[in-house]
Amino acid sequence: MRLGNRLKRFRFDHDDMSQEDLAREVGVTRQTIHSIERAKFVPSALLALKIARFFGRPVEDIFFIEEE
Amino acid sequence: MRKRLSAGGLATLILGLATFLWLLFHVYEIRTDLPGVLRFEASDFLDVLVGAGYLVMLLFHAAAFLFLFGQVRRAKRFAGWPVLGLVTGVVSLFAIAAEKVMYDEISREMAIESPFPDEVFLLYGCLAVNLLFSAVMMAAAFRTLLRSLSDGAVRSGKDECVFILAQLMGVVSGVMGLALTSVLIARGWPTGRFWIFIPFYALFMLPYGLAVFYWLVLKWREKPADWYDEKQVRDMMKASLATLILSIPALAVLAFAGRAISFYWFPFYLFFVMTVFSTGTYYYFKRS
Repeated sequence: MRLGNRLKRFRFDHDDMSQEDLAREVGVTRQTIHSIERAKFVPSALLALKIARFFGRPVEDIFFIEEE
Repeated sequence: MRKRLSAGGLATLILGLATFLWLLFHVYEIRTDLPGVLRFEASDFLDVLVGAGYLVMLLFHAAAFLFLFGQVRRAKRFAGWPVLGLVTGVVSLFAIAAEKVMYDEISREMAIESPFPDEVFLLYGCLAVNLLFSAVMMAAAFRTLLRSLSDGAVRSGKDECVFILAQLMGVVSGVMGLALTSVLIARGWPTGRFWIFIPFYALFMLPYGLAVFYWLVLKWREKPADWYDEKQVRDMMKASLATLILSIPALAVLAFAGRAISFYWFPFYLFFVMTVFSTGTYYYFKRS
């Protein structure tokens, strides 16, 4: 199992927001957003909630468990 | 469009400062001990110090050119100062080559005990060009830094640019210190004369020290918990683990080398740890 996400899609739906802009909004580096999108880095619950709050959606809309 | 200070700009600022300080020291060396600088009186220390200083100066030129090319590329219309900077940089590079010629010429004149006032004058002229270029580039990079600080661009994304720069400077400083220590060990340099290399180690530490100092200047108002984001913390933890694991065989080598290593275990270990930690942090940060 691993943590999948629809972050990229949400960014594009949000006026083609850049990774850097999202990073600034939630207080992390651009590289962190990039790593989350590529499922290389599992964010903390706090960061996942911050991202979800920024997009105004429940956290499970953005992050989900993926069977490998 | 917000301006931001790139890694090239930060490297220009830090290496420019190191170059500027070294040039001042080098001019002082020439004025007080020219034969030592030219290794005319078998002064290994000054010879190596001159070499290291020129290495830092060449790195500074590379960073400055990157910074200037970036400024030219981003400019919406013809930008005079980056072009002027590029021209000065090329002249400064030629000046470095001319300095090598002057050193050779002065050495030759010294060997036959002939006067060499013109060569020394030209040498000072070339060093003045280097000093001018480093001062101008420091001012330009500092100006860009102030602008980026004022609009908050450099503060975005947990200062990713500074974080990366600090790791790269750690790798540069660590590798240079490790190389020097290895040379000293291999050549059996007496421990009692180690002190003459302390300024040399200080010069090597300068890029890393300045990068870390700049990082602290940016961070001192924040809570330590906010200094890094969670991925940076994870990357540094992984790098710390790698450093711990790799330091065991390194320490074993030092232990088996015994007396041959003597006091040099300390700089060896210090620069080894710096190199592995900085390389590891950079690798983990960029890999994923």
